[in-house]
Amino acid sequence: MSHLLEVKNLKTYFKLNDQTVKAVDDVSYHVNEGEIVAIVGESGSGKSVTQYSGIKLIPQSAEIVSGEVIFEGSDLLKYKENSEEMRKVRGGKIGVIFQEPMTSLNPVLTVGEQIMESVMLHKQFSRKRAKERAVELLNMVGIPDAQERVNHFPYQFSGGMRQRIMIAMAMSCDPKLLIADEATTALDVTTQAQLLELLKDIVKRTNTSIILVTHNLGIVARYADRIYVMYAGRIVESGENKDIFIKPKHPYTIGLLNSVPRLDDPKDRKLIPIEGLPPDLANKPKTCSFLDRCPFKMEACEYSPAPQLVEVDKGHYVSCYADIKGNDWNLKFEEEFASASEQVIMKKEWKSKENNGVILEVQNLKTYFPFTKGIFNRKIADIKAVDDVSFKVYKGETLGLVGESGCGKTTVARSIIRMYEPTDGKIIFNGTDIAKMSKRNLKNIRKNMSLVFQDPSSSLDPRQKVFNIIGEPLIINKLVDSKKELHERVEELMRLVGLDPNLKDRVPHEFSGGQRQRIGIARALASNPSFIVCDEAISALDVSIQAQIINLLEELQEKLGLTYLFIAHDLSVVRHIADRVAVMYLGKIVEIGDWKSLYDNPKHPYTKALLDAVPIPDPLIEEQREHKVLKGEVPSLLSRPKGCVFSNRCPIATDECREMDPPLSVEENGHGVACIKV
Amino acid sequence: MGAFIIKRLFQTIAVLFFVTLIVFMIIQILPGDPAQTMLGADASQEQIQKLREELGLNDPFIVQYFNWAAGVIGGDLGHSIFYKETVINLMSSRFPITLTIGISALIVTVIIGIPLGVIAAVNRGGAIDSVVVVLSNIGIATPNFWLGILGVYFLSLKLGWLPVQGYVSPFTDPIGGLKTIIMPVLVLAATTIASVMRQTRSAMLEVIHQDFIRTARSKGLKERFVIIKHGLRNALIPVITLLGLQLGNIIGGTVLIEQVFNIPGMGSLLVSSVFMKDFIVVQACVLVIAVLVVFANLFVDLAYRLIDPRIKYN
Repeated sequence: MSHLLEVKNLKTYFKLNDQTVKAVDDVSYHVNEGEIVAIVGESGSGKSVTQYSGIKLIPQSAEIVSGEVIFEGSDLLKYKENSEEMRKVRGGKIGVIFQEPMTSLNPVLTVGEQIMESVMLHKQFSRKRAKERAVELLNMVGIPDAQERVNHFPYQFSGGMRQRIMIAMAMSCDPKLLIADEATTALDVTTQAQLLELLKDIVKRTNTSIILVTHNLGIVARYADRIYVMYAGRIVESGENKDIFIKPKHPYTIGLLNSVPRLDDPKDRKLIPIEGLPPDLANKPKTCSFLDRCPFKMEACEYSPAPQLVEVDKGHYVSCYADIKGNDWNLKFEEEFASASEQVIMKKEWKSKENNGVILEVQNLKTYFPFTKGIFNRKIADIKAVDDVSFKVYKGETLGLVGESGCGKTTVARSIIRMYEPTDGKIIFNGTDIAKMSKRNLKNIRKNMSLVFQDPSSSLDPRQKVFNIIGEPLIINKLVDSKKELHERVEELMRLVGLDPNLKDRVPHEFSGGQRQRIGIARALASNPSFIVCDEAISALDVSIQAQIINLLEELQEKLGLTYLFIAHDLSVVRHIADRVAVMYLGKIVEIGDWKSLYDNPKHPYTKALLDAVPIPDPLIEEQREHKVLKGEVPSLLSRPKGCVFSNRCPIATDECREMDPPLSVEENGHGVACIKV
Repeated sequence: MGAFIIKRLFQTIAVLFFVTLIVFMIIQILPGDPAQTMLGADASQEQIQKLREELGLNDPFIVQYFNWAAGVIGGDLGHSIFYKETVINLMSSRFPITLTIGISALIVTVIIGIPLGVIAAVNRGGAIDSVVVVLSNIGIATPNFWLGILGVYFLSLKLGWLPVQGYVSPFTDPIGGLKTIIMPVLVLAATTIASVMRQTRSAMLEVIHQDFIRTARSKGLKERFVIIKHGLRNALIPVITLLGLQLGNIIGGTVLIEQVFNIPGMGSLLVSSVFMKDFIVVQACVLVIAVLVVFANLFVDLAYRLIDPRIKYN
């Protein structure tokens, strides 16, 4: 049987400043009809460019050097970028779902118009018929009131809804192939689960093939039939889903699997990061690209040309000289790795930090923002971003704060450090209430608490040297007496977070993402704080780098006795790092407890739904799991449901729930739930 | 939106009040006496005093202003001291001329500036782009009266293609009229074309790298369609803002251009009235210009909404 899509020896290079960046370097793969194929890789691995080369959606600086992209028997690379034939394939036979739902739709055209133009072009439908088709498609992807919503503009939809519209658009002309490029990465877990189930359903019904381009191994394990793993512009391993997850052969694949925390991990599992950075694609070595980071490298690897893909099992291809086989790979890997890197720390058995005493106690915290309207900007309502939240943080522990976007977790953090003024409630830090403290008195307290931000590239001033970035808190808080001391302290901080002090005169853009986050952490540590808020501190990083930063945070906690408030949306990461976890929904804490009782025995229906939605990077486990999908979307803070905030989406809600706001009732072991049904 | 328009109209009244008050004040401060000007150098002090009394020039400044303003509200723009005619009459022949030239300049700006800006952006770094960038720099740097003088020298005096000066209405004599206004309009529009071109180019450059343009391409739409339907509409907001601002320049520019080409429009009326200290006419001209600019900006704000549905008026 011939394949629907067959890519042979594709090479796509970028020409940048006289350098040739080999973004896609001799890549071959195929997709069969009705198949879900995953292309897995980290940023810069070339996974997206590979997909866009075939349909000529690549930037002008990119050039397809050689190769064939055979789709339904004809070579797409023969067609010019804007030729009739190419445009028939693009949108007509191959649909694309892009990553950013917020920017991928045209803001000034109605969603209906954007779907209709495709249908009118490829199917020659009249305007009237095209509109009917648009409504039908919106219904198919689960947009309520499609008849009316078809005339709305993208800004009137939530992120998840926009991605549904994107899917409707890509599906509008019944394509044979859908390319989903990190299509669910920007979405919350429950929305992500909804959309992936939708896509899977579409494949089943229409026999469309899907290429899932992603870095999320959990998604791959749950949905893909076959997998290609890409690294530095090449495919390093490919095979059936189970081959890759159960018998991975390439050190990079093994490394990826070891660096990701999983929902079913034992708590003392250490994350094994892949040390180092991917190679510079403009000066790629002639040898294996993974050589510098590979714990399995042999002497021969240093002298041999880059290895080719070899079939090691039926349908399972690997490009590696080292023959890693059998069940002992994990053992060997850990052994080799542990000796190669001192940063790997063995986690001790977990125990509660309650006896250490309380460092922070938040009592009935409310942070409201005014919602104004009209000529005189009258306040007509309060946006209750944080509504009556109470919790304690014990010294030396990590409290994880999880929830989907808009749940108020970041507002809680910013209220605690008084970046936002709390409307009401107490914030008792080390015994003093700072909720209403004057700015001047606050200054003395502030140096004891600091923040690590989400986006390491935008939260560092691009024009300042690392020395100034890290040194600033030292100077402001008068923690150093002399220039010499300042230099010493900055160097010490850089060493502490694993940066070379010789780089202190560089500016942020000369560092990689992971290194920049290290700078951010060093800055947070400068004033010797005892309490650090990590606001999605690792979510912008690639998985192999994430593990490095998680390990660093854990190591620093051990060394310096730090307390973390760790805000994240990734439940697996929080489970790995946190001692206790609080789950927020619409400005309220719905469940709180130590990690074990919360993850092993979740009580609130929302917590259960969140955990169900997180895929586990293991196809055998995924096969056993029932994929329950939480319906609906997080409502707006202005139209908060009556009674329990979760009542309109809750599978077990009754009339009682829609009337009474359940209090957070805490059991003896500290596990609290705000639900009257448990 | 209704509330927004009402709010803006109130603002407009305030703007008109201050603009006319300030101009009134400046005219008063300037040396020279309109009564003296009217009666000529030989007039006796007595005659002058008598005329001043008649014209109300002896009243305190603020009383004069409110007398004038009350007249305007009642629909009376007053009498010209110099022309001995009602201002309305004076304006009725000149205002249409200025309006014709101004609106033509605006239309020319839009139909030349925006397409060239788009073409330059799409062919960034290419030959057309370089030409457009150089032209727009020249256009912005060249004072338009000088461009007018150059045009008259070459096109009229040397080549004899166009009349040197004067004005014939294109509504009564299309060909002759066109010949008289083509040069003033192009000269007037030169700077605005240049800045609109530049703004369109940079706005388009930003827009064509947006994700939704890639989405549009992924649908297989024709490139021209992608650029115009998906690109240009998103790039228009800053261009329209600029057009609103340029309208003030165009109206201000007519004052100069009408001098250069000797066109009997409102600009030349304004200039001669300032010299004559014919403050009633000056006031009326300023009022009309201010009303034009203020309303043009209101239309710009309303146009935003048509282009970008996300813009709400608050």
